[in-house]
Amino acid sequence: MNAPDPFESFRLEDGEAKITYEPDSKVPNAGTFRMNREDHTVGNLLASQLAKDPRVLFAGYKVPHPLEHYILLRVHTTAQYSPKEALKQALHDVIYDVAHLQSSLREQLPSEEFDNRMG
Amino acid sequence: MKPVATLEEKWKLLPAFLKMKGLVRQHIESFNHFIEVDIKKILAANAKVTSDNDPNFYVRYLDIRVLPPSINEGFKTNNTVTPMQCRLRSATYAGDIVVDLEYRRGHETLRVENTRIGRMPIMLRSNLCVLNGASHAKQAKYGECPHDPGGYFVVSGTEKVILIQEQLSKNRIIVEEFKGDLTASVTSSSADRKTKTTIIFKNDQFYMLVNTLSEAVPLVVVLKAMGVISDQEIMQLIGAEEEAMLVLGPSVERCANLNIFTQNQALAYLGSKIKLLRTYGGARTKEDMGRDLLSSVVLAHVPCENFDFRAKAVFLSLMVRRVIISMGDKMTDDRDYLGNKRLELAGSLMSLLFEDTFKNFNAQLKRQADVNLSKNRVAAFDATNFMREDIITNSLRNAISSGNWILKRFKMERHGVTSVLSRLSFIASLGMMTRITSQFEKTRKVSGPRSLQPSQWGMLCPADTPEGEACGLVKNLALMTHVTNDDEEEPLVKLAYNLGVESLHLINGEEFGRSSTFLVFINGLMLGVTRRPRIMVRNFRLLRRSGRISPFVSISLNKKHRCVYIASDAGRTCRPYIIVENGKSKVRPHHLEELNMGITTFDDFVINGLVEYLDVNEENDSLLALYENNIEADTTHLEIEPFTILGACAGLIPYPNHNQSPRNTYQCAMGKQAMGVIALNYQQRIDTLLYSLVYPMRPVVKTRTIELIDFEKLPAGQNPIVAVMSFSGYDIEDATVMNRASFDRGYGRCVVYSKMQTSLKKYNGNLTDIIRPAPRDEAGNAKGIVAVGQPMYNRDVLVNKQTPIKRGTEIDYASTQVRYKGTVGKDAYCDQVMVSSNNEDSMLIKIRVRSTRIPELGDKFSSRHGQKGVCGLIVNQEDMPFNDAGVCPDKIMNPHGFPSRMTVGKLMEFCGAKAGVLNGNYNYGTAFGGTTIPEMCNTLLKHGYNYHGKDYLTSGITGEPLESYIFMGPVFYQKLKHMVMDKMHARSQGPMTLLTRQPTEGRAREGGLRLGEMERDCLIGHGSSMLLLERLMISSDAFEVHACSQCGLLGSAGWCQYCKSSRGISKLQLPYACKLLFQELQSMNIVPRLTLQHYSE
Repeated sequence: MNAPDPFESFRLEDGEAKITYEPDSKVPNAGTFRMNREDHTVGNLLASQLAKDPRVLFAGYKVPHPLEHYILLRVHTTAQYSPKEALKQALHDVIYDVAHLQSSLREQLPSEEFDNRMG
Repeated sequence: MKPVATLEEKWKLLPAFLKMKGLVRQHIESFNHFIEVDIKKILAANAKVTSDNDPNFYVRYLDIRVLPPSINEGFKTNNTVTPMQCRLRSATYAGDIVVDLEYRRGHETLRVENTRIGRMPIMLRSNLCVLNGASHAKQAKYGECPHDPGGYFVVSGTEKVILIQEQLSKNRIIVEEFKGDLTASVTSSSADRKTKTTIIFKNDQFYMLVNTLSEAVPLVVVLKAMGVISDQEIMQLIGAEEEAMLVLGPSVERCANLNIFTQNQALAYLGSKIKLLRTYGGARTKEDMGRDLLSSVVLAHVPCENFDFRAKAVFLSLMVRRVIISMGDKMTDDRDYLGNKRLELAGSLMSLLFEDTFKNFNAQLKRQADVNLSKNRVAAFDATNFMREDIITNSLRNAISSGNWILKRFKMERHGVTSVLSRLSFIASLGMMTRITSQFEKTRKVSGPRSLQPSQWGMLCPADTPEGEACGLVKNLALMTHVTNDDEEEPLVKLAYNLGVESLHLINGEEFGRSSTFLVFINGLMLGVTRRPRIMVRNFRLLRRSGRISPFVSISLNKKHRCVYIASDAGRTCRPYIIVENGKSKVRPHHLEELNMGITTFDDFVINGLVEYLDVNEENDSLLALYENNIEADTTHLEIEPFTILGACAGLIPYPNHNQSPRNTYQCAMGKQAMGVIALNYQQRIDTLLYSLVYPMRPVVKTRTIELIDFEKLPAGQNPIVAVMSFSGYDIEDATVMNRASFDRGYGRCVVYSKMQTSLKKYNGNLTDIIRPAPRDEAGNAKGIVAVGQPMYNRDVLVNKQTPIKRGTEIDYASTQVRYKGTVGKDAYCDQVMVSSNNEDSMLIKIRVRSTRIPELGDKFSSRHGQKGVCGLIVNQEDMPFNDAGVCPDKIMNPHGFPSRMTVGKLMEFCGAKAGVLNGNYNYGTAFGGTTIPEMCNTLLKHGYNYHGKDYLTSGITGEPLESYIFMGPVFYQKLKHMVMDKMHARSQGPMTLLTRQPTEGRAREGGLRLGEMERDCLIGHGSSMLLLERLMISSDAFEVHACSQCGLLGSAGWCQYCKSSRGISKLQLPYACKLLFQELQSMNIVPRLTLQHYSE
């Protein structure tokens, strides 16, 4: 059938980079990250995390086409900061947040149930 | 007044009605009538065959019967044939036609019984069919679906339906305006003649016109020729009122001016006006010719014995009278009025055909007798040896399988009478059985026959008609419509006389005209007059209600015409009503209780005079109440259930009375394309193409009709949760966004079965096709036939067949393999292989191929409200919105679908289905009834949902709540047969046609995509000449030719054969089609010459 293979949404092609960065040619301290094989899950999470950073002037993401599995994340920061740094910081924060969520869940739930649910 | 106990449950009469007769009762009863009654009448009318050469010879048929279906297998006859066997083996489901006959052989008279004269295709579920009265278990044993309606034929393995044909009724007077002149015309139809007689009022005079006359003849002359000599009597017959006489004056004067005063003069005048087609049989006088004309052509249906034209004269004067009446109020008859229409069913069409072919059979027999009896032979001529069975067998079979009804007798030539029963879905087959086609030309742009007539109320479905050219011409029967069969006329005639009708032979002209007398007609034939029409009609109806005469005989009073019409002819539409007397329904609640308990059936209601059938004309003479509380003092009948005005297809729609009317029409067309379970025996069927839905569901919002037609047992659709909201922009223009996880769970998944077929033929010299083991790498296995379960790819060998070729004495075998023709060669498997033989004695191989399809972008879906749409985007479930219960829509529909479509019924279905799902019950969306909105919304409230059916949704993308509440609930959706996989097509290089060397056309041939005239015009307008050249020649059929610049003709490379020189030969490119044209012109002695010029000059 014509339907694309189901793994196309997450498996990187050989030699395909997970993430690339394209600085904006007109605006300083701005640029677009292209994340291959990612979708709203990561895009929305990162964009909203970046937006919390006071040194980030703008953060937004888009899925240019629903059948092409990559996202574009545009970040614009203040002069003392760079989009790459901002993204790194955001990733760090997100990982911390998730870990925190996990540990607080572990505290709330009996350990057996937690193991069952989290696989 | 205290209200009496209500008849809330009177709709229960409907299932009783359908249980007794089934949905296609019209077809089956009509066919039964043909087999049991008509065929014997035909035999009686053509009972004797004689010979010109031996006055003693005769063959007299005594009786005719059609035997239950059987099949000939070489030497023996198999008498336990089932329809399924015939379908699978490509055989005809037919029974023997046998006759008892008496004939002369030499000097003895012989009697033979049960001589076969041919084979009659048998209608499924008719009295002769093995399925008639068979239990479900037995039907399962026969491989038949118990929900299959029957009413069609199986001819050479294909299922054929004889569509109901709509016609103008015969033998009735119709007054019309024709080019400004008033006319009254009658299409007479007797056993052996069909003629049309017209009265025209033109230039203040009346004329009569029939086909065989060269011109219109003055009417008074015709009357005089019929023996009404006195002008006074003519006046009295037509009408002696002042107005009538004034109108008639010039016509009478005209006759006198023609110097016609006696019957003989008039007859001679008529005789002289006959178109002389050929003169044979010696000289006949003009008078005799006129007499023959009057007796056989003019008003052929009015009987005339011994040239007694009295009845015809009266009928003719009545026609004139009708014209005069119409002059007064300018009211002409309506051709489109349903009471003036007759529906021709399978039985009457088959009897027409059978009579024709039986006459042909007898003519052949006579010819054989003439030839053989003219010679003196040792053995006496035995007629039974010369009865050719194949005449009748082939003619019946060919007519049904081709749909061409060609009867030389009536010069009738009709095409498309039958069509292949559509097995796309159960509803499609059912819809086909109730379909009515019209004889009107489709190209004519008249709105009259196409528009919905008020008289079609309750008889024909107001919603179910196709769009486009056949709109309004193809109609469908409503749920309770019954189409009558012929009833005996003589007893009714006697009864009418007993009820006080005075024969027209006993009355003079003056008495006809009296305003107190009413004329009495039976099937268009005038019987006489009655002075007490009301009493007569009432008594007649009482007799019918008491079961003394057939319930389908109608009698109605027409005050304008001052006539009582009795009708017992075939093809009238009628429907049952509850009888109301003295303001009270005759059906009481206890009757319904008895029906519920199974003590009584619907027939008992008719026999006991509680319910009766009314045809369109009698309906006009009755006062109907819709519900019991509408009954007034004058009410005569009570409607059984209003939703029965809809047909089977429109009956699927929930709350159709809340929809904009065309939406219901669209759904009627789409319901036939919906995939589902086509029949319970679909696993055993091998159809050319069979679609089947994988997880079909019963609709949560159902209707009474859905229950009655077994749609719940053979459903075609599923109940996805639909959210009405905008999402992603891929849902504009009726597209829908779908949930990927729903597809993974099986929503919209379908299985497509297709068929490949071949047979091993026999040839002269004891040769047959053979099957050889297939090469190892091919799909066909060691036996040479593909194995069940084997995956198949495009062009795989299914049957490795070889056909013998004679080369002198040696016999070679050439490969005639059957290969699999799949589109995208993936996911197809051999599902079933059937090897059998049919009556041509060759081996028959049918292979069923199965492929499963998951919905993809562009597949078409539709709800039951004419709202179709394609799948615009498939979204992961995590990105879909969800409510706080975790419910995620399967489908997101754009709200713009509602305002302009006004399908309020769909909104009600949302609420009904949501309430039903929460409550664990089914809701009813029956037309003009069903579960009410407050009821359903209160259920929602009870379960903690919003009263209006709206939900609080959270976005799956951001995790934030959506800004507005979303209307969400389950809706019954159909998956339609249009799938991208069957349509997707593109080509870069590919096959070319042989003749023109241009790309082939069409997807099936892997054809090119044409740059058409209009596209070409755009390129011309744009001035892109090189693109034009590339599209029209280089990428198509560019061809290099060598042309001679001297003579302008095409030559070979470097040499012009015409000039015998090599000078001036140049190479150029032409479309191959152009070169072909030149050669074709040359072959017709036309010389096309090219004028060559250098590009740079």
